[in-house]
Amino acid sequence: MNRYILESEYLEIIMELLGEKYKINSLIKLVFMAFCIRNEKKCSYGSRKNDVIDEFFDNLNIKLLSHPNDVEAILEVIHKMKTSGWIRIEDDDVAVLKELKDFKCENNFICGCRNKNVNPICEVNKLDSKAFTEEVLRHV
Amino acid sequence: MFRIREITLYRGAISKKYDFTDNAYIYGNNNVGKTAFTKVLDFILGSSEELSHDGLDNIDEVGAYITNEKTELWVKRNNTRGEFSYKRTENSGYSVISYEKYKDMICEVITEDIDIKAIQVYKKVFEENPSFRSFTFMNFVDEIGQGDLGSIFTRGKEVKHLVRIRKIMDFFFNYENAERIYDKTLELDSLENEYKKSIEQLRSYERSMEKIRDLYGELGLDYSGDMSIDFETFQDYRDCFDRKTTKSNGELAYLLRASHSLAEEIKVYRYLSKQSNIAAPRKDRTAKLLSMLGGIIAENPKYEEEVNIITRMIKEIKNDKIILSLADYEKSIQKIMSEKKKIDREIRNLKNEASELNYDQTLKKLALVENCFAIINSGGDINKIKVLEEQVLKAKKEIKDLKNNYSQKAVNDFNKRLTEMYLDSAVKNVQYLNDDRNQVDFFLKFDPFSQVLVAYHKEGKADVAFTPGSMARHNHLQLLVYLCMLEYLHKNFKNFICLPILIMDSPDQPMEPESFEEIYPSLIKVANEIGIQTIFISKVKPDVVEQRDLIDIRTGFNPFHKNTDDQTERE
Repeated sequence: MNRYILESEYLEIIMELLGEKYKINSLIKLVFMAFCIRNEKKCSYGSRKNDVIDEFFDNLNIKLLSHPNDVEAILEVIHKMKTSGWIRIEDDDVAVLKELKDFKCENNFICGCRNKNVNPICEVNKLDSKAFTEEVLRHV
Repeated sequence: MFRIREITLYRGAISKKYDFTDNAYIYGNNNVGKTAFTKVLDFILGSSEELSHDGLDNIDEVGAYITNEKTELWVKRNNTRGEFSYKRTENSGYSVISYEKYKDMICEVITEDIDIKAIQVYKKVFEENPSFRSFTFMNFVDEIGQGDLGSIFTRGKEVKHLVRIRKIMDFFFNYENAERIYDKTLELDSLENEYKKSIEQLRSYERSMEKIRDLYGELGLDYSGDMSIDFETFQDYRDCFDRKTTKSNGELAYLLRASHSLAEEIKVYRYLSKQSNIAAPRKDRTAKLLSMLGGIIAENPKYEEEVNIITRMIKEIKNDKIILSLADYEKSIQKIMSEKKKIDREIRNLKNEASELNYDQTLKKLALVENCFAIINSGGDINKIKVLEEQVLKAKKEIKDLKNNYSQKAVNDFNKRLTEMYLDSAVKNVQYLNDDRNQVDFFLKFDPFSQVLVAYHKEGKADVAFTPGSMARHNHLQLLVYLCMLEYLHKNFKNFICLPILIMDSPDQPMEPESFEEIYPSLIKVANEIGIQTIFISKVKPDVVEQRDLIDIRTGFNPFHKNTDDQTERE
């Protein structure tokens, strides 16, 4: 049961990331951003000491290697979306095939980011895939 | 054998004396000062605590008359001034001594011929100076803590004993090893001393080599690094100030630039070296991430495609960084530094060529060079240092191995004797003991290191541990462990500084009177066989106790106690 709850939590995060607002089109970004968002305990970075990107990727620190079941859940969601024809994956590129409308993610961090001028998710998305991977390796 | 023959309480000129036999039995009702009696005994035997127990008021001094087969000792301890005093004959006067001396005096009565070797072994192995007070937890069965098979020694839980009880047990039950550790430690000490001396010699040899090089530069002499050639150069110069021209033919300006350029290069390489050190743990983390992703595919092959995309990307980045982490910057830095040193030497030589020395300075420097050559000739045997280093490491390893190597034989023998003492006693009509006798393969196992006593019996083919019930049984077993321990010490550590006395404060409380009538003589029998003095304190007076052993404190142990005074006045 816990596994299904975990997968549904990741599903709404991934759908938000693929949606109109963020338009994430890289598999590697989708996997690690989803993990960072779900494991983010702060709702916003209002009183941060570090750069937003460092704050965001800091969620990978220790947690990622100790929670392989989270990565499995993310991969399961992506796999289901792929096999059921919602998305297509070619190399690292992800393309949305059916429109994901009438959907509102309830994840606290995503809600907290919604009206921010400096949106951490958008800032992280500005990194290209290679730079993104570099950041993952730096923080993992 | 050590015996306490008298205890005397003093209040000014008034005193109250209690005489002790080999198996004294003190009895009295509740609240008459039975536990206070044990506190007084502990106090006069050198406890670091003062007489603060309830009911011990108005006592100025406590005295004791202690004997063994050959000698007598009268000791006195002042409660208010904290003074310790002693005398050797009954009619002589007391002499005030220090606390340490007081303990030594008592120690001399415990045994005339102290086993110095054993004490030295203890000191060396456990880095602690023991006195007989260190082992008193084996002499007192206090009321608090009785019947606890998880902590057999009632004083074992006190912080002052707790910290060293394991060491003490280790020493008693692993003495052979302790002795070997002691010998090895002595060997290690001498090796380390020799090693230190040799290292010091080597250092001064190295310093002299460096100093000669500098002095040669200052004198404008050609330094080759080969001591025989350099010595010849020195002799020639000393005899007639004949100086061969230096081989340096470089241009000073060029050499200075080269030295600066190399210094900058070293700076860059140091930065890269630091960066590569940071890259190393990152490499580990990357490997862990890849391994985690690999594990996911192994369990769920359906994610292979997605995971492969991620791993491909990670590997690409990893390969970009690999050059940084593979380069051996330290080696490069060393090479550049050695080149820089050569250039710096040439610069120094060139600069020295331009300077002029006066006669006094030259003579002074020559004397220094001569002194350095003398040091170089006297020693600095690197091979000897290497051998010593190996020997020191070997000795340290052997000591470590010995410390970790426990011989179970002593503990097993102890447990065998303990079981025998319990089951084969003359006690016939005690229910729990008969129950245990009827168990299949019943045996007791005391772990001296954790102070836990467990009973075992056979269930099917297996030995099963169980904690036996009944508080009376627990107390009985606890007393036997104390006796067995004292017997073990008596047999194996004959002249060790351990008091041959057992003071028991009301361990008969949970026992039925009929059972106690049987158990008490069996305990006394064992104690007499070992040769220890027993002081038993109880509420009841059993018929089996001989009249001469009895000490009646029913009217109160301390005659100077305030309430007792009031009562007397009223009477």
